[in-house]
Amino acid sequence: MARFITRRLVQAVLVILAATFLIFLATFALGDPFASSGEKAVPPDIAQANREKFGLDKPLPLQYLIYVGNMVRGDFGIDYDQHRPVSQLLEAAVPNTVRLAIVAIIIDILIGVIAGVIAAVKRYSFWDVLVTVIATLAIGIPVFVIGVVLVANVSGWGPFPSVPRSFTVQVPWYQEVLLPAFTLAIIDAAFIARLMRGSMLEVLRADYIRTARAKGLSERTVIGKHAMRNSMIPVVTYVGVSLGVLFGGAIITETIFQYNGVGYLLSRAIVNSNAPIIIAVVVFSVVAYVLISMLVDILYAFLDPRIRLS
Amino acid sequence: MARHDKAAVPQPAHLLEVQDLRVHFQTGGGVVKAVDGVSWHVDAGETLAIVGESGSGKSVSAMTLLGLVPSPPATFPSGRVLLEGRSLLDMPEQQQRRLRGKDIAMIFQDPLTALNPVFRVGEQIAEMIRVHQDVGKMAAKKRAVELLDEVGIPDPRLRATQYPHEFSGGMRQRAMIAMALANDPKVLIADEPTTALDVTVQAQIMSLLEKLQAERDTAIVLITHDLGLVAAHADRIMVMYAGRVVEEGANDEIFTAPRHAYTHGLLSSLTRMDHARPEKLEPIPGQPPNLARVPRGCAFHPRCPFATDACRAEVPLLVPTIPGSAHRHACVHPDEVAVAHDRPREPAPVVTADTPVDERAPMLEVHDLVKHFPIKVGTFVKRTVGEVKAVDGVTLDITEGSTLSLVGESGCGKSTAARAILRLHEPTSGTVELGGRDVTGLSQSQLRAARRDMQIVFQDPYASLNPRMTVRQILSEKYELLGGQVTASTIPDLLETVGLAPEYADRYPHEFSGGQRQRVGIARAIALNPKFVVLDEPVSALDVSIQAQVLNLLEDLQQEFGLTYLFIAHDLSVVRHISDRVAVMYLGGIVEIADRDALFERPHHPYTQALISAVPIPDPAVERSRERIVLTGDVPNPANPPSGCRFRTRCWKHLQLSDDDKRRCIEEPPTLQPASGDDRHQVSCHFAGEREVLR
Repeated sequence: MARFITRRLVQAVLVILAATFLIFLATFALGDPFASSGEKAVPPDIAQANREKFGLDKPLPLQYLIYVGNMVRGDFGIDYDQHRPVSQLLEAAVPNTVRLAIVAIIIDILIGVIAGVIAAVKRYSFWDVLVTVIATLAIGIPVFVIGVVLVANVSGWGPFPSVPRSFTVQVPWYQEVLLPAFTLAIIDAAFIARLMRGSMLEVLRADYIRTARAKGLSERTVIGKHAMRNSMIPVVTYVGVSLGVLFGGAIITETIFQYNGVGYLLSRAIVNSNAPIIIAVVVFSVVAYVLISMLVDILYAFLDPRIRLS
Repeated sequence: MARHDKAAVPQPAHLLEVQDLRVHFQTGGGVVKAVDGVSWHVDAGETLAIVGESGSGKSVSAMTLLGLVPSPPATFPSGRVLLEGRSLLDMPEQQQRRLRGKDIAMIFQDPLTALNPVFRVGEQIAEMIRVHQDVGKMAAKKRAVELLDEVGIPDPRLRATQYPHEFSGGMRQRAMIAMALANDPKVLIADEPTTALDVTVQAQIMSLLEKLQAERDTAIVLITHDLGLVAAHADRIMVMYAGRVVEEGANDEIFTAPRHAYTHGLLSSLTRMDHARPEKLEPIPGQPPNLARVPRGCAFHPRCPFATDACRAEVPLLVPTIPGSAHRHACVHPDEVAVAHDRPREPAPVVTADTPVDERAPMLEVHDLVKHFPIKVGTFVKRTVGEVKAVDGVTLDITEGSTLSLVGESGCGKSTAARAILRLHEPTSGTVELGGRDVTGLSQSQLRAARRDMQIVFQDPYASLNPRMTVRQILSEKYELLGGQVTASTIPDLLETVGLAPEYADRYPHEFSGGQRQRVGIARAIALNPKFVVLDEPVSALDVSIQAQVLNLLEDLQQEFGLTYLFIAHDLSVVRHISDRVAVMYLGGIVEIADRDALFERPHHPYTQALISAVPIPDPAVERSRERIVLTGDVPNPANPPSGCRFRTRCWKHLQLSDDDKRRCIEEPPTLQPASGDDRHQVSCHFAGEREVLR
């Protein structure tokens, strides 16, 4: 176990270095952020001062090394626009994104697993057809459609804060998180329901389920104990990937609901070509993704003893 | 129908009685009558064998007792199941469930998949106890350890905490038996309990079952296709065909005096290990029927040599052979069957070659063939930490036009050796000469040209044909790859050679039965008139009656085209039938090699003797007097074989030796030496000696 984690962490460092380098190249390709363009006229001496302040006058490899060196110390620099420390921006946004991801994933799993199990156990029944039809429908609808519909019809009603958000109105986080979480959960829950149905149907055909029935176990034990644990394995894979993606910020959903998470932060940064923020958010996403996939692998080994962590 | 009258008697006549059971499945293709009016019974301490080929309904009838047949799609138009007089199927589900695993328990064919992979073995047994008995968690776990001990699992305390994948196949089946016996059931249903296991392990498991049955007076229902197993272990036998009982009676009656044409056909199509000169197999022609379209009248009539209009008219009922006898059959022509069965059979065709087999030139010469698979570890940089010595110095030659069989338990390296000979696996070292030409040194393009002469037929006819190609495409591809000419008549001729109608050329593999698919596999192998063909377990996935058809085909092809065969098999009965020479492998090396009759009748190596003695012979009279050498344990890990003689850890003879002799086995690896001065019979054992194991 310890060896497994060490090895995965070494891999993670390599992945993070590679990812930062790529995103560094990408933002460099955006061009000079302080050059005059269109309506924005920047006096040459101010532009030059800014370039020196942000180290943009140095060659790219050197810039990268300086950035990595600072990053290791937790310093992500300051942003181009308002010169705020990027680490503070992240600190404000990350907890919101984590809350959103966790609430969304809980809704996912609850709806998806229950619907999937019912559909599999009552195969070809009304409930099975209902689950399959709704799931297919939900998968077919783009996430921004669901988001926009909810913003237009539900936001501002009852506990849900209205959009566009006002800076003066403070709402508790659980009121803020519900609608975006639900938006994110619908499509994932539909995927999980279909995944769960398929994997449950396969497991129900397995010989050990026949053995469990031959033992005289009740159907509830057969499904809930013997079939459940085996059929959860593909679902865990999916949830792991999904959670990793959510931790990196749900750009579309957070932007639609003006939810102050890393996704919204990133979308605003992209619009302004605010490279320090873009790079920092990407680094955060990669770290989150790598850590979560490691956790999923550990959970795997717990679910299925045939998988050894080595 | 006499059973029905008995049911009226209030006193239960038998421990478990099944009356007129019908199990039908509603499918898109019509009603599949999987079980169609079947009655049987079993008493305490007795073993009833239900015999039949795949699709005969033998398993479904037993599964119904345990409520394991899902309904829908199954319906049960008629039938009663009486356990000590109580009607099982009329009980509410909850009450039925209480009997499941308690009064009636079951063990299944494949112990690998029958245990839940995510729970510890001990937990699974304890669960069985706790469902039916009011005991605590700790007590149940303790009992589970005791049960594992009882079924002969060493170190049961540790084993109980392990998962199924940490057990070998034989161990898993022992664990299944421990679980089945946890509540002292009155009836144990064993559905093909040893089919997935090696013969030596089969012998262990069957002797364990017999011992437990004697101790507990359990009734055993043994469901199997293996007539040898039945002859050795059953008291009574019921033969099923297409969902109906065609014959039932005591063990000896069925084997010595069958009265149904199907039973007779099954027995005639069997290969027998103890027959000095194998008779020509008489396979049952055709295929078992589709259960959605069972032929009118006697379901067997389209395949039956005795069939008359009477057979087609209506379903024959089970009648006693002589009034009052429990030996009953459902055949219109019992007397013709009796005559046919007593008639001496046609002897095997004698090969009329100019020179006797042993004086002909060798077609294949293998010298000191080695195939080691490295064991690698590491994430970025792979290091080799050891080797699986799958094949470790095999030397053999095969005379032109003859068959050499390579036999041994799974994991002995026989398939790897065959593949290394064909260079499907690159050999680690050693030479292979085919027709005097060294194959091991050939470049890839030369090797491809050489493949015209060396071909292979695989075990699984389902997996070895591309499902998206028609038979014509599969066969034509062969010519394209190996540079042959395909004319309009090539494919039809080839299909006819292997006994398939030329019209089949444009069908896809899934439209064929297993036997037909294997014929396609054979057609593919012989397409370009190879000199040498590897047959890798070509009949072990097939039903008995189909096996005989394919074996006869292989023999005919060998005679017609002078093919040289390397036959890989674990079924010694088939080996005795088809081989000229036999080599026995154990853990990567040949332990004994001899001409067929010498090997079977005068085996010198203790392993060969154990192997032969473990195979049951389909003749109850022979089985009763035969002594079985039951080997202990499993084949050791080939990555870490025992020192000296590799077989010593399981050797029965080793145990009888003095300490000095034992040391020789441990320290000095034996080499192949002529047995009793015969150069054609070589054995690798320090203490080789004959032992009679067939009779």
